[in-house]
Amino acid sequence: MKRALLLLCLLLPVASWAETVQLAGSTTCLKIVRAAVEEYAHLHAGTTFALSGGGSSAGIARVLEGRTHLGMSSCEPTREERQRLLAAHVRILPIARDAVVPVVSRAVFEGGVRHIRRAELADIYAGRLRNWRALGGPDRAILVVGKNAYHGTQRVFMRYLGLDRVPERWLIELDDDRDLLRLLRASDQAIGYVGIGYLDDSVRALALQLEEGVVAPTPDNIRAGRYPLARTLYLLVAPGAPHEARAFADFLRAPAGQAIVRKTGFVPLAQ
Amino acid sequence: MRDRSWKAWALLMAVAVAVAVAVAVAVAVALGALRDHRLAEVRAQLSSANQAVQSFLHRDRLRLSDATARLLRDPLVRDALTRLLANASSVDRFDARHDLARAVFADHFAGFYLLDAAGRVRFSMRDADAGARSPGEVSRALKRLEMGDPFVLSHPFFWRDQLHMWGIRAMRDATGRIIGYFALALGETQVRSLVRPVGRIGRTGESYLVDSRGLMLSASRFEAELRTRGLLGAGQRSVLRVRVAEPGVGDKGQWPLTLAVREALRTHRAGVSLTGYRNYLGVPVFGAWRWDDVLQAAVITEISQQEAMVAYAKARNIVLLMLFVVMVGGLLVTLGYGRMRARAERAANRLRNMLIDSTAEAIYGVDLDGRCTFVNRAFTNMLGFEEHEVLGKMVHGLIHHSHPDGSPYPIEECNIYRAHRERTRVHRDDESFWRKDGGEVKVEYWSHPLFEGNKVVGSVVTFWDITDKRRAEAERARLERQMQHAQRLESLGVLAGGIAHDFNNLLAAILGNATLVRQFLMKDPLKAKERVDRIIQAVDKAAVLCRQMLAYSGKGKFIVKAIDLSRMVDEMTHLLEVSIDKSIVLRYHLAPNLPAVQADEAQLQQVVMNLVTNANEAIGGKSGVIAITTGLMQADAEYLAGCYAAEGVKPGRYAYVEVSDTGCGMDRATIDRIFDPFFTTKQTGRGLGMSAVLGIVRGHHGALRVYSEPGRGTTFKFLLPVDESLAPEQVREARRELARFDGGLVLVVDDEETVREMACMMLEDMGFETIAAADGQQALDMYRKHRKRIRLVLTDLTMPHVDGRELFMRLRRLDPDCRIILTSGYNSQDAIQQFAGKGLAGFVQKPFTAEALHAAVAKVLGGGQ
Ligand SMILES: Nc1ncnc2c1ncn2[C@@H]1O[C@H](COP(=O)(O)OP(=O)(O)OP(=O)(O)O)[C@@H](O)[C@H]1O
Ligand SMILES: [Mg+2]
Repeated sequence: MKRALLLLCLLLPVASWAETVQLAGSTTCLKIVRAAVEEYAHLHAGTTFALSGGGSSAGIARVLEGRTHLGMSSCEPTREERQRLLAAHVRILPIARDAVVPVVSRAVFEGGVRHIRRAELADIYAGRLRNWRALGGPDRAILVVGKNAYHGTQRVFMRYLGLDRVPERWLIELDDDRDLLRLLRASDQAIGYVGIGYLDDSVRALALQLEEGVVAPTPDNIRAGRYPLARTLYLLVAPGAPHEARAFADFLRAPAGQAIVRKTGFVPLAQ
Repeated sequence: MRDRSWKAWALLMAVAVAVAVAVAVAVAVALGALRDHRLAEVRAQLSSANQAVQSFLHRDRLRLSDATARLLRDPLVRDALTRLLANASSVDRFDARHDLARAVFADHFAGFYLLDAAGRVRFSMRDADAGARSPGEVSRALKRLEMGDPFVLSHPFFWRDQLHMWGIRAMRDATGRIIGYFALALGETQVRSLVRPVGRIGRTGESYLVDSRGLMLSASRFEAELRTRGLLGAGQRSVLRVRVAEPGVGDKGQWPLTLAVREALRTHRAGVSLTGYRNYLGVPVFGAWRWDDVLQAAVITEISQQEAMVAYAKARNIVLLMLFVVMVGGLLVTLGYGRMRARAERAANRLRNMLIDSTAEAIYGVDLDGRCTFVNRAFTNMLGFEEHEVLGKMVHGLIHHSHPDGSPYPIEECNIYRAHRERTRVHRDDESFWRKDGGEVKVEYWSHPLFEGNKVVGSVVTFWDITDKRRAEAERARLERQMQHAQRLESLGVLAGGIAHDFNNLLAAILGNATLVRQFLMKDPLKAKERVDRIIQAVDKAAVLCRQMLAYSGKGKFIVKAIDLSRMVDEMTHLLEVSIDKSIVLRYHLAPNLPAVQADEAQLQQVVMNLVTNANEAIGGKSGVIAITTGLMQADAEYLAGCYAAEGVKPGRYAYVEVSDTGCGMDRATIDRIFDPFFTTKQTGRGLGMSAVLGIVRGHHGALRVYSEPGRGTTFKFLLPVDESLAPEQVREARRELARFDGGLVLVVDDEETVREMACMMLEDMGFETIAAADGQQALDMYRKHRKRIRLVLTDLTMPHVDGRELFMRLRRLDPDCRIILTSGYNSQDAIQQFAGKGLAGFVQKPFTAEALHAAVAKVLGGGQ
């Protein structure tokens, strides 16, 4: 008994020191996770985190390969991915709802473009529609900005637009939502899309003109599923993940974690 | 004693204080070292953070520099830019913007600007910018580029309500002339986070950049704090809006810049302050600073003193707490120990005081001055003083001021103080103490010096009241005197009773004779004379009796003169003979030429008389022998130790008289008591004889020896020291030559060898040869053998087997001409009577001297002159 206690005493600091929870995958998720980690570290000193991006696909792949404790995915895994994840005993935990929001430079929005149809968006991203004037905006060429193909946001967005491949020429493809926002901010003619969490007042979100009407990306709409460009953010827990990783995942799903979700601009799960 | 414990206590306290001081000093030193160590750590931390910030800034600058260079190196970009500098179509412009944006934003920049040589914006992400004048900060940067710097990183600046910071590179044509400038912009968040992450230390440590005006160029870590203090407007960011000055009163613009900024701007050197100063929030901080020439900015790193020293403070607090605990613990232990000791001491003192107070003896102490240091209860009870009345006072004056006779007793002569003055124990029982009420207390006291180590510190005096004892002694002495008186009276009565009879006889004899004298005086004067002689004889006897009585009463005259004991005894023979029963034989063995002793003759006669009387009484009417022997002997200490009355008597030559009898003897118990006055075993005895003997012998510095066996007899022997001053004369006298005879053989017969030998020696001295025999039978045999040559036979009368009488007869029968001289202790008359008319040649009374023998021999043989 005594010896066991002693062993425990010896191991405890080592364990807590050695345990670094690894997270990888969706940069969208990363925004929540970053904030959550900061707060979590306050509550659980001794748990350290190693965060890396790479996109949702990377998140799924790394969990499957056992190269990370927690994978982050900002889109619904495909059926095939889901099967592989389940086969590998990976737990798929939704942590937040997200929406992909089409955004434009403030000058464009203020020039009259407030909402947009799906078809118009598709035209822009297909290179068919190239001046804002066609949408009732200022007479300026449209600077089309997107995200790289391995980003969940891009996949969600493109799937919604029904586009597979976008001719490179029309598109400035960026890796990071923040770069995209920086561009939109610097420009007076650009369009792009970001996860709703990244929205700030340097750009303007466009509402979607649907058949049933204009649907803005409000939390209610997103949670209620009225806003079509919505998705669920997932945390994928590897079967061999340490206790701390599981605890962190649980923390994110608990009210405290959901508060962080809200604070970072995403939409908490329906309670 | 209390004094000593105080000293010990004081010493303990001194040690405790010393230890406490030592510990405090050690702790202070340790804490100082700890503090220095921590400060050194802080210095290192600050310096390295400060340096890291600088190098990070340079890295960022380099990144920007590289990015611009890379872009400008791209010939397509360069061509496009060159075309844009010369007016380009809107399509070209869009394409160029498209291409540049792809590169610039992927590199996380916030935009790009193409300026013409005059510094106007020619091209950027927005067409609207075209033609705008570049802001002042940029103009300053361009000037440096004109001066030849290949790349300049501007300070942050506000332009069109946006925070900007540009890295600018000059574009030159083939001749080296500047044709324009290409700038990459950092976004606002980028600007704000320029230095923050690297420069952060702990909770309060931060690094920031300050320009030469004292404005903050990077974001403060404490914007919220600045806002709550009103140093920053709501929603405002700190870059360029915070003047890094110590908050004070009055105009914000006039507050003095913080020490770090002042120093950095003044010296343009790196520095550290560990003495502390107030930062722009007014918080005391430690800081490090440096001036960066390239960035044209001061890099400041600061941490609040409180946080910097928190580890030290923690350690210090723990150490101080521990010190406190140890000190308090030590104090408690010390106090506890002290109290315990005090209690133990009190208990011991109480016991001691109880002991001292409970003794019957009074005890008090004096110091060297003679002042009283303590008294016990018996003291106060005995002398009537209260304790406080004597403590610290001169005791002598209080209780010892007078002698018992009332004469003053000066303190200088005080016997009690001799104890510590002379370091000796003083014991007196002839002095008095005086009570408070003036009453006298006769005391017996002991005064002991009190030592502390080797030093005398005073005396302790114990005494008791012997007034009662003295009174009892006096009473006893009086009673004793009375009793002695009574006894003497009584004994005198008895004596008188005894002597009255004798006296009466003597008086009767005197009266009778006197009566006869009266009858014969006229008729027969011769007869009358005879009667008068008888009267004189009786009066002589009466005189002797008187002397004896005087000796008994102790009132006799003590007339000392030189006395030859043998002569004295010889002169007493008549008296002795009349004192003993007729059935008893007195034998004398008197040594000739005894050295004289100094003595009172009457007393010595009394002694001999008493001894002989006792011997006579011991034989008690039966037949027996009393032998009186005198002699000279060497008495050593051992011999004297076995004697009575020998105290203080020195070894030496002693003349002695020995009286031995063949009487009843005494057992041990009786011997032990014979010298007790009035001890007697006889019905009519007074029990004073032996005590008189002992008294007289003692008075002559002699000794007395007793040997007795019950049923066999008793020997008393008294020794008197020889008066050596008279001895030589006596010796000379002894050497006087006697006339010699003309030879012949003499047969000496005696059963006592010493007598035989002595006689032989004497005869040989007279010129005879001698042969000796131990008894009669042997003598007869020898006579038969040597009869021809034997001229004379000298024989003792009393011998075993064949005694002197029978030998005489048989010799006479054997040889009628045989000349025989008898010796005997018996009176010559008694002895000779038996041989009257039987041819006895002569008689010598034993013990005989050489002269006596010579005379007797001469009478028998004739001649010898
Ligand atoms: N020679 C002796 N043999 C035996 N007993 C002796 C002899 N001399 C003394 N004593 C004992 O010692 C006692 C004391 O003798 P001491 O001469 O003092 O007294 P006393 O003879 O009894 O009386 P007194 O006073 O008439 O002489 C005697 O009573 C006797 O018992
Ligand atoms: Mg007697």
